[in-house]
Amino acid sequence: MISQLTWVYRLIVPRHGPSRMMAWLAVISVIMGMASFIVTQSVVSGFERAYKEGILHFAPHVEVMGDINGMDQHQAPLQLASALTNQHINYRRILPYRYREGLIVSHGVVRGVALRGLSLDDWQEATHVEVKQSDGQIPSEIPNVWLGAALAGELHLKPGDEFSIMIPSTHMSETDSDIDRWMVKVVVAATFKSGLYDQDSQFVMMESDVAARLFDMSQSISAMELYLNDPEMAPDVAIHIRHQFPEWYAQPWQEANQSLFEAIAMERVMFVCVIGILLVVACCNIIAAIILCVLLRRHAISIWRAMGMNVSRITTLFMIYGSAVGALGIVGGLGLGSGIVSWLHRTHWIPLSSEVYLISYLPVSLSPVVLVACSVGALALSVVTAWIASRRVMTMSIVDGLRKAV
Amino acid sequence: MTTSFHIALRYLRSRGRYPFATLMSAIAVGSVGLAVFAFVTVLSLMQGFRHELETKIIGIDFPIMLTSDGAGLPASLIDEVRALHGTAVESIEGEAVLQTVGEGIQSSGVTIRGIESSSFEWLRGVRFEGDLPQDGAGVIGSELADSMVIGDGDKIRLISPFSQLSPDGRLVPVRRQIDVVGRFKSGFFQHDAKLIFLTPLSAQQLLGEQLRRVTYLSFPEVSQSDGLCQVWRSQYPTVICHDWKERHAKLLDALRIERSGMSLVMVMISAIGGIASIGAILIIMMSKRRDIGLLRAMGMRVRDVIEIFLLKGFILGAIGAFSGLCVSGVVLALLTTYPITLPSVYYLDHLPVVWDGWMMASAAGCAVVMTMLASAYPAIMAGRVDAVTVLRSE
Repeated sequence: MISQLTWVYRLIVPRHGPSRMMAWLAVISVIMGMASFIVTQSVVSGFERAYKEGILHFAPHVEVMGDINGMDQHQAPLQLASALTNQHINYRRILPYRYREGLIVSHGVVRGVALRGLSLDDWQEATHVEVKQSDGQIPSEIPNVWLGAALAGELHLKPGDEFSIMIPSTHMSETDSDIDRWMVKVVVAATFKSGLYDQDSQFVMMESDVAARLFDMSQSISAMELYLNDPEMAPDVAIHIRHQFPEWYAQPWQEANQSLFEAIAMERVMFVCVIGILLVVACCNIIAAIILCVLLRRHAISIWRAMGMNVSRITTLFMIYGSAVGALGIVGGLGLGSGIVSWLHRTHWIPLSSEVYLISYLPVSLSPVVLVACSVGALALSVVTAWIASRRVMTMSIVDGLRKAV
Repeated sequence: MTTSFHIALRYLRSRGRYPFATLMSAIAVGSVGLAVFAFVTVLSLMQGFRHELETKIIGIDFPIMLTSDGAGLPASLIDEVRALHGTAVESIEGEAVLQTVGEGIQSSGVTIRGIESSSFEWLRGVRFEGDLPQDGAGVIGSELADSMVIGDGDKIRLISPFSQLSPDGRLVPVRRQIDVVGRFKSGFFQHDAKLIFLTPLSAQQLLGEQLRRVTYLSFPEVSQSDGLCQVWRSQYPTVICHDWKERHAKLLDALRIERSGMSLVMVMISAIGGIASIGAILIIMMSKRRDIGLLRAMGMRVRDVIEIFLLKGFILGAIGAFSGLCVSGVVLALLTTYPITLPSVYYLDHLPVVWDGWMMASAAGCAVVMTMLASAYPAIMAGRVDAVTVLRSE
């Protein structure tokens, strides 16, 4: 192999002229194609990873819901725990919770929110949300709540501030005085941040007993959150729960966010198609580099052949040359692409609107799988194009080549 | 047909000693075609997405939203709107909680919009099913109706948190029960999942002290609204004016970022296509050195030789651009006939396509010009070929 490369370097690699320029242009085009591929795939992977982390930092791995009247607050968690233990499913925690939607009123802004009541200590332990507690003393006679950081920012609230929530009761009364009872004054005890705007701008968390009182749900819970040791097991566990408890509905986190991951998968396919075209065109430039090299060296090639060098040997030399041009481009593209991705990762240079993209900067994630797949794919394309081009050597006439003086 | 053009056309194929020319011409045409195809298809989809989104935003949110400090809009402003053939739609708006009635009560935060039945014709692109709102009856968004299992004829309760002043001076909530007489679908998920249309009277009775009076302005051409708010803000300090671009600035910025990113990719595709064209024409030139020597010996001027290869670039670019346009036309036609359904995280339910003739012509024109520019270097090299040396060696 080394002797082959030495032959290629001595006999084939152009030292000057249009052939050398074309070789460099082919290298540059492969670099551009590879770098584009790596950057776009890293951005898509970055979004996928950021969304996945944001979701798993906040949401349960499986959400188990009962019928429309809720579930028994004592029996349901025990039944679920027992079923999971019997099936040897490793789980970290089961969190029963109460749920309502309400309206927050603060500084003249009225905002619809999702209210969730559960054991806040357990929830904080089960998830990875960043919680910022109040520095001062929080009055305990007023219900304490935790607000999503984005929601707190939108309503200009900070730990220690009081505001009102309207929580409609399910037990309707026809008198307005009862409606008045639904306005509850609460105090912000802490703010939390999961990293995803959608979650940080919608949720108000409170202790389970507070929610039981405010929601008129003393005996029942709305649903249960299940946290597993391995979140990827969630779909299988959900199927098992549905099978074991037909009256319940278990939804894994992948299903709850299906449309988000479908959108990412769709964009990944679109980018593979568009940048794949780019890479194919880039590799076609290797054909031009080889053919130009063959044209300019046809006199030399004819002499080699006249002296008895095998055609397939010459073809192999040109194929190695073309593959080397592709490989140089691939290495350059890997370097450039990885450099851009690392720089984007370090600097968060491109800001995004978190209201639209749910995160505030362009996320990137350099996946070794993508790098290897992209490199192997590009190298295969280079070898194929080099093979196509080098076969053209065989079509040349020795006589014509020898007649050429320069 | 000039001699240069005839020779350039003849050089597309090669049957002689070097059959590379045909292959390289095909690669150059393919590269240009792929670049044009990718450019036209991606930009048509992105423009389609933007256009559809803008249509839906403007359709339900109107180009301009005005609120005043309670004294109403100045008469001179109304006159200006009339002079522009604009239409003003009065609306009463506020936030409320929706509760279902019956077994298993569910609740959700909603936005109330009270407008006259006659104004519904100005809601463009919004599909209504059932009746329009009447006093005590409303129309709700299709996503909201589906998620809370509310059908036509069902009753719902709407609760407004700060509606009435109580005897002790506090603002207290008000609850109203209304019938659902219809549903609407704007295609804009945010509204379809949160908005309820009522009559102005019903909205006023529900929202009470909490209501906001808003005037929406619609114009025959959306572009007429551009810059109006800036002028009115200085002329009428009591009026708060927001145009649709300001209200949805983050979404439009996001689209702009995506378009810039895709444009960068398209520029790279074009550059790589350009490099392929350089290679192709360079190879054709190298394989035709003997012909060039003969032509020069027969008296052809250097500029004519250069012209042959520039025209060669033009022909390759034109064929490539035409084939790229044809392929993208077929793909776009298929996407128009069989639209791809989008996941619900996008604001739209299907992938829209815009047929922009000007954009397509520009892409094709740019491809031809770029290929001609790419052929400049080989053409200049062809012009430098020394006839004596070439004829001696070839």
